[in-house]
Amino acid sequence: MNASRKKICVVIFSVLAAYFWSPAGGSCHRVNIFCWVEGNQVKCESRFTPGGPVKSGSVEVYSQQTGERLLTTRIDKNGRTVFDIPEAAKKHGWDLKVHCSAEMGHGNSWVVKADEFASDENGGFTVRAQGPLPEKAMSSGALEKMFSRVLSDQLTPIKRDLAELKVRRISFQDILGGLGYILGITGIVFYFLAGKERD
Amino acid sequence: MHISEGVLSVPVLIGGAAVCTGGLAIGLKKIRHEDVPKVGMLTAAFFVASLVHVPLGPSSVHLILNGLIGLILGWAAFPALLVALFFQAIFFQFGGLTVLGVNTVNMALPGIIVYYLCSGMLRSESHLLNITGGFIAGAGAVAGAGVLVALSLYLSRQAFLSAAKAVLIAHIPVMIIEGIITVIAISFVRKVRPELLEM
Repeated sequence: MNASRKKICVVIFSVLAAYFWSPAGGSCHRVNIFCWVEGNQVKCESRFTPGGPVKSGSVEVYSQQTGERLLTTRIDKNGRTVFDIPEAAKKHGWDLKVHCSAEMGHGNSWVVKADEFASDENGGFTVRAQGPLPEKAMSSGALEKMFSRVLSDQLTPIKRDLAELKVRRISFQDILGGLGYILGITGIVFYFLAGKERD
Repeated sequence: MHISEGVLSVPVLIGGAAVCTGGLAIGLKKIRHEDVPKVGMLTAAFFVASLVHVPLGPSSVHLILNGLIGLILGWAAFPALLVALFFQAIFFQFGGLTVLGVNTVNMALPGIIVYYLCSGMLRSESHLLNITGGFIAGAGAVAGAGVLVALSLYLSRQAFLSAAKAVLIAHIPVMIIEGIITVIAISFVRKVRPELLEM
């Protein structure tokens, strides 16, 4: 191989490597789902790690306590899903296990604790649907609802970010740790083989 | 290509574990003392290769390298991939421990098939046959893994044709890329360490 062909190969390899290792893409071996409560609804986002949203798939919601399937819904092209909190879950105080099924056998789950929607049921969309509150006839109950709504609106992005932060990501330590274990196993195999040879 | 926990039925999981145990026994028996570093090195390569992702349409796919590993290791691909998949499940949450057997079989078996089909072409003096053999091995092993993933999903009561179509279409770019990478890697190995191809 002459020098110019070698240079071309190196350039092609560098471009391909830069493209494939770029953080822009997704990788199709782990799906993450995270959910948060907004008023009477649960909002979820599903994405491949690291990278893009799940664009085709379904979400199944189960009772964490009984295993009963409560509802099934589709994931939109942005990887998002919204569903109303099932009445049975509110009534019995069940935690919700939200399972995301993406294509090619990929899936993952997220648990929404009953405490989250019990404490959030006055906030968010349900209250907002009642329209503006009259200024003069504002009882303490109405005030409480209004504050809940405002707080819910302001806390929504924080709740989403907090939920996303709980998703475990692949770190450099994970990669090094795995390589270290593989190296260790190879060393152990050598150790035993050396012992056999001595015998 | 990593099937997640909770997707496959119990008989498929048990069947996969049984086939994997058989392959593992044969693989361990065939590993010679001098092959241990080679197996360790390719285990590490497979462990990291899945982090190389290719963004693709509604989803994304990653490098597998099972063709290259199969060509170089033969039956030793079983222990190598089992260890790599185990650490991927532990560190990255790709796949899972209960699906370890199925995932190992899905990736190792096509590698062994291309080992028997293509190693003759790689031993040939003809450069064209070497390139063709390397490409068929790299691309064919990915296609084989795709078919086995679809078969695993089908045996767990999912539609085979739609699953196979989804997996194969999603992996066409990876087949091409892996074919090219295998050709380059094998050509390089033949030049600098031809003894690596003797397993």
